[in-house]
Amino acid sequence: MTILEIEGLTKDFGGLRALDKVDLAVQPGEIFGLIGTNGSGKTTMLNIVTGFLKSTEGHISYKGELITGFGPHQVAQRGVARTFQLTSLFPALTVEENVISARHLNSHSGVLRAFFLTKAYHKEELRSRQKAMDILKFVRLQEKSGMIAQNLPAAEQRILEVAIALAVKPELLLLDEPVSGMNLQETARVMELIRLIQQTGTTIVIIEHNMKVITELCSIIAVLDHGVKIAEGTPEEIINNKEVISVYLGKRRVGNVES
Amino acid sequence: MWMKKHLAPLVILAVAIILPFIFRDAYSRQLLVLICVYAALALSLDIIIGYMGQISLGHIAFFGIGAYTSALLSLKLGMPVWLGWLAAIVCGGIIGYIIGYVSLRRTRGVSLAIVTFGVGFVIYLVSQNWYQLTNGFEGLIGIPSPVLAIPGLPRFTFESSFSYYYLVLAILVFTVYLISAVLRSRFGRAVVALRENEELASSVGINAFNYYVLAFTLASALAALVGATYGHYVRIVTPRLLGMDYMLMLLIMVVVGGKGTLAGPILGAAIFILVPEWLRMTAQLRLVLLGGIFLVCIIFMPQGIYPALVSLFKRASLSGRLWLSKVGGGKTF
Repeated sequence: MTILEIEGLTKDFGGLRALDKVDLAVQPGEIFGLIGTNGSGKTTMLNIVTGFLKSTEGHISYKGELITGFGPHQVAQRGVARTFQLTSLFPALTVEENVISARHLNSHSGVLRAFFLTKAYHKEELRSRQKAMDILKFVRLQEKSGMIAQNLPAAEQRILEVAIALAVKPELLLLDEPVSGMNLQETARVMELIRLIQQTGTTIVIIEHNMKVITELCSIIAVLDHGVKIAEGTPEEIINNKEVISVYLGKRRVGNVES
Repeated sequence: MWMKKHLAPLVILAVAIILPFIFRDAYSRQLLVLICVYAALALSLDIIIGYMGQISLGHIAFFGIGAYTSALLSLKLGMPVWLGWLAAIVCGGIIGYIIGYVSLRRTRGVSLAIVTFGVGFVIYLVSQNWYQLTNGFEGLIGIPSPVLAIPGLPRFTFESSFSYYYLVLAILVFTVYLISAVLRSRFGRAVVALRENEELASSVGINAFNYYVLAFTLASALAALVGATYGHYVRIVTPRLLGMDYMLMLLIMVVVGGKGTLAGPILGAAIFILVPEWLRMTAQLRLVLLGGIFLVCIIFMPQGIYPALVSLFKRASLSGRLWLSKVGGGKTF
């Protein structure tokens, strides 16, 4: 059963058709790539899937359930998490607090317990911090847990974003340009992280412009251009696809070099 | 261990408890009561401003609703004052919930400020014009004082500023504790997350609307409780209580005192009740000076007076320690 099914997705912004009857199916456990020129509708599609925008037409099913029109928090409650194109954190909070806040759905510290400072409250708080640190260890940010989020270097802010998304315990993770602005080392670190996440059984959809990342990580890639899906297939098929080349990749292509 | 961690608040509480013994005249004691009342009210507004990160220009309306509710129930129905306070909380909470539910759907920021201003103004007009209920301009007079009637103990009436001070101090302490409890709960964290980044908070499963409405309701219910305590102290409730001048004063207490902190609004209340009193002697210049003080505070301490004092203290203690370590032969602390 597909984990994410998008049917006939169409989005109009007034006179501008950002998405035109796009169909997509993501299988559980795979890493699915979504590429295309800027303005091709990738982030718009992500925003619709995660409930930040309403589609004009079309349906979205998650694990067989229709989630069209759901709000962001409802989508998250079902186990779908995302990152944002422009780094999005809780800026004034510490790294640890960022993750603890993101664990909202899995936390049980009610106000009454907090008021009376019951044993259950303390136990829950300890558990919360422990789980948050586990996530930070997974993404290798545990040493900076006390740092204020906005003071982190840019690349680590992106990684913290992923940690925040992981706190939702998602079965489906949607990453919007996770390595944008990163150098080779940082990119490799994130790629490793994405592989580790896949190994835990999470399905991942990546929007990216970095072709090395896309071709090395993804088993399937879909290509959008001006809101229309123009190709879908394995990395091999995509980089050799004539239309994809002319629209996005450019004529000069040598192996896996980033265009 | 617990004592050490909470040393500062405990010391402050101890000082607060003995204050009426230091200031023995009626006038000073009256000011102390007012400070406690406005401190608690400012804290309730800070839930919206400091923790939700929104502005409500109608918050004073809940103060009024609480005062009128309790006053009416005890005057017209002869209810015990304590029940009147409970009713005030419920009434403020329900009306706050309704207003929050309707206003917080889509409006945020400046639009919300305007909406809440409108709502507050309407409630103000109601208090002025619903003559049969509120007695209009003249207001309600002869509001009874709270009476403590526990069987077996002598009957005690909270009439004097001295006794009432401890009552409102208890309410202030309760408010501080309640807010700190909320902050360390899942609810409080969600509200802070929404303030920091509403989009991100939604994406991790936080229902923005629900939590905004809940926080707004809590703030309103608290404000109503404080209003009820005020009403039974001054024993007169008039529409003036809901006026914009008090609302702005409240806003200034929160923002200049230090929003998003527990001490800030309390400090703000103390300063902006005491300073106008001290400036009385300057007659006409009073308002000009007061305005000047607001400006100076906001320009030089945009985060508020309390945060400014905290960072000053941190820098002072750091340089103090450096100095001490030099004097002590280079050993660092």
